[in-house]
Amino acid sequence: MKFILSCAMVSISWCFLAQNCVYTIKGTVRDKHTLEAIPFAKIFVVEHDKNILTDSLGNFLLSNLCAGNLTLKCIPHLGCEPVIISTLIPINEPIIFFIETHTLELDEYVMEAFRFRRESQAGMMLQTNDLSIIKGNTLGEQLSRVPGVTTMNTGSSIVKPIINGMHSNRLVIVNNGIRQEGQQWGSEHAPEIDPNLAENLEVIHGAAGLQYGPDAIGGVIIVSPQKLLFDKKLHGWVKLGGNSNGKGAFSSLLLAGSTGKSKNFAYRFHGTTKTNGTQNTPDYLLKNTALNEISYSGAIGYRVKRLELDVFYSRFTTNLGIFTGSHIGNLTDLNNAFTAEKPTAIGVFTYQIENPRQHIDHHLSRVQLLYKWNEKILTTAVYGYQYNMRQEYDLHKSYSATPESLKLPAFELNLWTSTFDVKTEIKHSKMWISNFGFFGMKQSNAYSGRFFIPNFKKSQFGMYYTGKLEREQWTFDYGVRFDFSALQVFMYEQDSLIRPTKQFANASYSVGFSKFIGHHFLTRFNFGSAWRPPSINELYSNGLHHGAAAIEIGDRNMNKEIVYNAQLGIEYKSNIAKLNLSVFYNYFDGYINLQPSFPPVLTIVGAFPVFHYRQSNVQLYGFNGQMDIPITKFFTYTLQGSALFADDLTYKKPVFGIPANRIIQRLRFTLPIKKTAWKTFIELEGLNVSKQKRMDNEDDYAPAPEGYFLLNGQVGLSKKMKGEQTMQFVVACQNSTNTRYRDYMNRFRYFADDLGRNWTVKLLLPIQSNKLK
Amino acid sequence: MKKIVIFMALVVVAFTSCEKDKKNDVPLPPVPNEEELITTFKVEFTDVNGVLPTVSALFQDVDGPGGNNPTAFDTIRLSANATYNAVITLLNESVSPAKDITVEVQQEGVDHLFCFDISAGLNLTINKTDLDANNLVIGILSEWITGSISTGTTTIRLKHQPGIKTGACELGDTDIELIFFTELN
Repeated sequence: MKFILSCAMVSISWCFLAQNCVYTIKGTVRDKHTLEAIPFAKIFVVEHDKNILTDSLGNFLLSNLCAGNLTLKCIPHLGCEPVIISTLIPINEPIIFFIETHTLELDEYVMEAFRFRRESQAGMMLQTNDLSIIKGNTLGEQLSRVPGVTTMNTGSSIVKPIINGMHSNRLVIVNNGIRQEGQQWGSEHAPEIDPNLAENLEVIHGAAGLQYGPDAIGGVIIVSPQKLLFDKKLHGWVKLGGNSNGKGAFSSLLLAGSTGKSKNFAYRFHGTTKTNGTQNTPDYLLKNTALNEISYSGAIGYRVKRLELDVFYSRFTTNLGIFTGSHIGNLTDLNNAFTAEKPTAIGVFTYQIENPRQHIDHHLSRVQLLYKWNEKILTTAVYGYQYNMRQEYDLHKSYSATPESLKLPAFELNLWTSTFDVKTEIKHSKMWISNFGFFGMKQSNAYSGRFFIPNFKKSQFGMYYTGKLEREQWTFDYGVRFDFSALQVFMYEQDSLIRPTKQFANASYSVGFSKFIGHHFLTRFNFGSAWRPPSINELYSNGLHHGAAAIEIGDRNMNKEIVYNAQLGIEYKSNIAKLNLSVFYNYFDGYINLQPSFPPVLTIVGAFPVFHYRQSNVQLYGFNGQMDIPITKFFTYTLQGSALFADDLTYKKPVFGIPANRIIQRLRFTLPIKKTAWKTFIELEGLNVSKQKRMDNEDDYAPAPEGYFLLNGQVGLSKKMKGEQTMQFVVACQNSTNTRYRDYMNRFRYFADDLGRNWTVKLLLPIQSNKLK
Repeated sequence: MKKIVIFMALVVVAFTSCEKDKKNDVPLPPVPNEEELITTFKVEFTDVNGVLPTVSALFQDVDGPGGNNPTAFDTIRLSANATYNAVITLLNESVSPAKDITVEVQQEGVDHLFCFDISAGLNLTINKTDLDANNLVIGILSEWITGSISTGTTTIRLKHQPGIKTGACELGDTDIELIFFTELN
């Protein structure tokens, strides 16, 4: 069988001349297709009968060479078919060798270069344009391929990512270089991000966000769009998709390029529309679950010698219906909904959205200035402005409503955020890079309608210093950050306006290393601490949480929440298998969560359970693992699993709302079609989610749902186009056996089953102007 | 040069397109207690024969759910072996003057239904006596026929059933649910 071998473009770029045997050659080993550098590739120098290794950046250096012939041989250890380069020393000008793509007989496996993520923290980077890996159309779903990432849902349209059991305020989402600031404390408030704009989605586990804020307690999600490219003509892509459950469709377009005589302008525009009708479980329609979404963005960059300036603006608007059966007036309604076979409100299929519903509008503007002082020092200044508006409409009109008030939302929250971020990166040497930064934020929140959270003004300032040492065999990273946060609240209490203020300050830090053991193993270790000030709802909420059927009471004297995180990872890659295992332990000093308290409160709608926001000491630990085993040259078997344990040490019980343990198994069949640029794949996936048995009955109204098994499958076809882009077509089926199930992390599990079978089709068409470069 | 002008224009656009924001009234939040609540539930019983004294039972929670506890939650005390006409009154007393919400429930009778559940052992029969536009009962007015001496509870619920009212109590969501101790002497 013939295979295209993804090996080696060796470039010898630089050398100089002096006396005999003092010549030097520098070069790089690169993957032919991705052009990525291949670290630790072995090169045999025939004339000197010695082996050298490329460094972590794929570079190699040969010194003390004599004039004359030189033969270099890239050895197949790391997936290189022996590639022989002969040259004559000295070389007066840089020479680049392009190695032809080899087609050859392979008996065993497809060989590939084993690249390791060298960060000391566990994590993963996903390319969103790889439709064979990316699922769904929300940020939360798309990240669920990353070990340790699960989702928290409110129905099927509100999806929030969870990293190792932590979500909402405990994660930082970096959208296009700035912290995404919405009403992220709410479990039914999904991130206002169109994942189609992103080119890369990166997840970093643990107390990791020193550069982005002190509050990356569980991790950071970095959403990065394609960089502005100053040396490319018009290019981009169109994505089209449809799904059967909800008869939905989406389309997305991205165009980017550069212009100007000296190529000093670059641009990138994108837009996405998405619409979905009433969705269904295996047995019934979920009334009022339609949604529509529009998002668009534009970026323009300008570059002169040492300066690069870019402006970015994006808008994300969504309207989504909230499943009618989830609207309950009291505990009796909730119990009835829970015990009922199916919800009493059964829908008919429609694209119309009724009350209860949410309308969200998020604007994000950003100016970024990059200044290169010299080869070693780079300063980046970013000013960001975000406006987030959230309107929630209740099913129930209030009594004594006027015709005008009927059109108003039950409440509306407006959040304005300005952020300013300056950082300077210094390359002290080839192996030592450090970063100094300053961060400032001003935020205001105003509401209208029903009281949910009070108005407030918040300021936050932070300073940080991080550094990284990188050697061939190891890396060492460290960082420290100090933050100050001040909050002023404006609210009425017993008919008089009060303006309490709160201040919080603390340091966060992180230290870690990674080290190669031989060529196949990488170990990593990281220890860090992060903290967050309590969020506004944890301090000031007071009253009935409609829809949750609970009275939630904040604590104004709440202190900050601090986490200490330790993680250990090991990664193995060879032709026999790939293994990635990470173990983590978090100790929380003052973990803020809702604790039930007695007696229930009596209201005109019956008795409601009362939950107070309290702080306790919590330990949260577990592991994530993934193993890929190539069974034959076509088949790969993947086993991925996560286990999570969270103990409330103060109240001596399990912590509420922790995702259940899960195992994912995949069987993937990949086959290039002979002598063409076409490639096909078939993937079968089985997802096993266990029942969450670690829960305290007083924390919840209903027992956790049973575990479940879902069978998903997908088939795809792709064709490599000119340049680096690929045309792709994927047909997938989620929950293909139409299994009835309820997930513990779906807030609607009390009311209805989760979604039934869903067929999706997705097409990605690259756009490329004829003249490349 | 032209491009720089365009560039600058875009900078301005990017930062002004958000300026159609709502007015930033952070230091002056809306005054609460303008919520439309039902704070008070009253049921008044008159003897059909005009002999027995008129009785009433009250539930009152002026600041709405949460906050302070209800200030009144009476027991319904009726004479045994009698027939009463009952009238329900709903008020919002969080505003001044108090608002009568009963009128609204009556006007939107096609969306509302009172349900009465009597615990086992309590010798009581309740018949709703008012009708909505679709000739379905509402329950603001009812007839309570008491039997022999007994005690128990009466659960009174107001269901909101927009567009789905059939007379069945299971539908819709609950606006009121009060469990009154009931004594027939």
